[in-house]
Amino acid sequence: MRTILNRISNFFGSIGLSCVLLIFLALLTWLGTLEQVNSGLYEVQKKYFESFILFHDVGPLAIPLPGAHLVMGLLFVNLLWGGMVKLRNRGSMAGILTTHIGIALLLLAGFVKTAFSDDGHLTFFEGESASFYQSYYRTEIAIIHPTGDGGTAEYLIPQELFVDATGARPTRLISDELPFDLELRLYMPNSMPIPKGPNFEVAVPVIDGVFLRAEAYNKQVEANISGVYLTVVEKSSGARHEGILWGRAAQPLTVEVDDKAWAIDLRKERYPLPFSIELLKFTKEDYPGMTMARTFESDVIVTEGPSSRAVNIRMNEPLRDQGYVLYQSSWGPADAPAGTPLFSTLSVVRNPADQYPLYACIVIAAGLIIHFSRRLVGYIQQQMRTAQ
Amino acid sequence: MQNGKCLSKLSPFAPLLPSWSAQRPLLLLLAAAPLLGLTACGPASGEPRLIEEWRSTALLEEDFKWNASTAERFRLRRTSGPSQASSVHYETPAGWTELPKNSLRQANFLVNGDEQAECYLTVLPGTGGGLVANINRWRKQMSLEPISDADAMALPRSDFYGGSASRVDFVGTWSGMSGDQSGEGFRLVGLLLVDESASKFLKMVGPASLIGAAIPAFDALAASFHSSESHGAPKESHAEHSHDDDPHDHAAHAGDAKTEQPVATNDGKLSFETPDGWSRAPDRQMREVTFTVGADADQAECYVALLGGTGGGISANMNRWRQQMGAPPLSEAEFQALERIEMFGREGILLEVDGSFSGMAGEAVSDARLYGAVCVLSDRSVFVKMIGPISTLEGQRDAFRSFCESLSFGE
Repeated sequence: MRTILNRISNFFGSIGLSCVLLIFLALLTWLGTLEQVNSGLYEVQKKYFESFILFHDVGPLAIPLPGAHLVMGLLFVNLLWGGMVKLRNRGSMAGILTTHIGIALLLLAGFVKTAFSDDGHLTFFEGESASFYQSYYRTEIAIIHPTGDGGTAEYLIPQELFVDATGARPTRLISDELPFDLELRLYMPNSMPIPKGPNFEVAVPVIDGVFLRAEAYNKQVEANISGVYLTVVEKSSGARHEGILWGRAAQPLTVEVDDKAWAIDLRKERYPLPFSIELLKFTKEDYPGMTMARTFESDVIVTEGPSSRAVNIRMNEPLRDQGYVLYQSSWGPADAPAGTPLFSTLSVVRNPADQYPLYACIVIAAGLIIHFSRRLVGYIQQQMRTAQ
Repeated sequence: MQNGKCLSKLSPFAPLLPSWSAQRPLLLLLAAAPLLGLTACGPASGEPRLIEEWRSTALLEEDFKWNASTAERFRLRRTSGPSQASSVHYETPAGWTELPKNSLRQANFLVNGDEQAECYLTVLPGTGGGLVANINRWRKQMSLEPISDADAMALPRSDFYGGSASRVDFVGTWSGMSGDQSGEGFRLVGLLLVDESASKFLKMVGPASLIGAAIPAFDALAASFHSSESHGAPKESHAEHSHDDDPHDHAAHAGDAKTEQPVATNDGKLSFETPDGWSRAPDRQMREVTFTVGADADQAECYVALLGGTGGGISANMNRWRQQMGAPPLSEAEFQALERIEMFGREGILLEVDGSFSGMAGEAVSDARLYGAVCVLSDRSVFVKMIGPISTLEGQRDAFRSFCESLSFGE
């Protein structure tokens, strides 16, 4: 038993494992970069760098590989066990120990970002305000109902619960708090609602003269518009309401169940902000004689509770507040002639480990300084002794 | 790291080799993990899934339009349906019986009163499924094999609804729309005008002998179709009269170009000067005015279209035109280098591209040239497009440019 434990300990603390894992990381980086020829950035990120296991296609073969999550997780354990716990002569190796702590902090930052962060964008015209931002990639279904005081409340269905409902057999979604169940089917990652004409037949249901046509999947994931067939099944009567949800619908599907109104919307996932932000003024300056933007910036009012403050957001000068970072990322509409109202798009990132990489770099730098200073002092002392 | 050694002190693989035999089982386990089915677990299929997350929002009830129709929700413009039936005008052939219209038949007839023979017009948004697909659907109804794209492109063409429509004429066994009928010795004559804005299909089907006798009436009916928008539009002969025979025009407008009567649009009256040699063509949907240059197979056409906003973007439309010519999209630098002209007191952008033209309706012109101009106004965009054989458009560049510069809006 002791031998087995020793072997396990030696394995997880070995420099050999470190080397194998670093080679895997390099391999994943290389393969992921090549894969971007065929797939979009988001899908490559998910497949190679936010996974535990992946299959890399080489011709007809699918070669299994550990994903970056697994590799970095093991690297963290390896670093912790072999580079810190089992490290001998810690006094003399203080610099190395510090450096390893810094690297571990860097890996921890990656884990915290993966597990606890989200990002998206906030797009608005002058005079508009928002207290949420929405994802570029992820979708959700919101079941919205009026609260009676003019406001609304939402039940949210994350995409994991319905993206596999691609077949004709419905996927049922239930909640004790809702007076109905939902049945979803024929989910399409990229779709377009089309009026059904008499001169062609379709293999999918036609609802109110409209059917959902599957479109070719765009490797730029954010360009896809998902859609799904929905049936609302009343619990009290069993009555069924058929409808289509589409990611770019101007209005949600609304149904009345037990004399109460409900709106159901398929949309990009939304995240609340702890403050509201209003766009006061958007300014864009073009290069002389061209329509290419030289600089653009947003003057906003950030309001939280009774207090508000004016902030200017421009390239490389984001707004940082309560763990959220709002960058000036783009504007539109493209090709808009002079005088056309423009909208401003802010990229929003919520990352509790936002500053961890900075701290990690400082720790690593300190460790290296300690280590090489000791080496330098030792070398000088040795030279002095030799000279004497 | 093992035994207190740091990575920089060691040859990268030196410690790995001696310990390989001991560590091999674990490393193999790591490599084989995918094969053991260690995949992420998702929700079980078939089982009901629980909606768990709930939150109050800052959205107000008034932010939603409750009970919006499907068309409103998806911003669909219904170009077919009963509401448009009243905008279709035609002359019913003598002896034919007009039947009630419905959402799928904007004009509906019994041919010579025979219940076995019918003729009807269908207008669909967009391409309505496309030219070849509709031809082959009709062929299937006649129990015939499908034809190739090339054969479909080679079909004869007839004037219909202000455009050049593909004409089909099949004899076969009629199986009906749903394949549940049987009529041997039937004939189907049809016109298909497929356009990205709206497509029109005129179909006459019935016993071959009866349909054969009704073809002249069918052609007359096809020629009489026009929509409300083109009702009363100047005929080509009228346009030629106003150009060549009206001495007032010649006196008032010396030189090559002639000022035409303004064209009424949704946004005011569009005025322009018609270059010499250009002839007004019958109006068509989605176009404010259309001209032809040259004749027969060498004929080129030029038209003006208005779209709301930027119409999808200047560069996007320029690249769509280039795609129709088989040319690659413009780079940013190439786009910036395009010639600018003055249109409507603003900057218009001029495009010229040679190639093989293939249009949305399947029309094809090899050795073609396309002149395009786009001008974005405050609330809409003006698109001018001229397309035809190079031999015809050679020397028309200045005329096209002058035409674009002459465009203006009035009350």
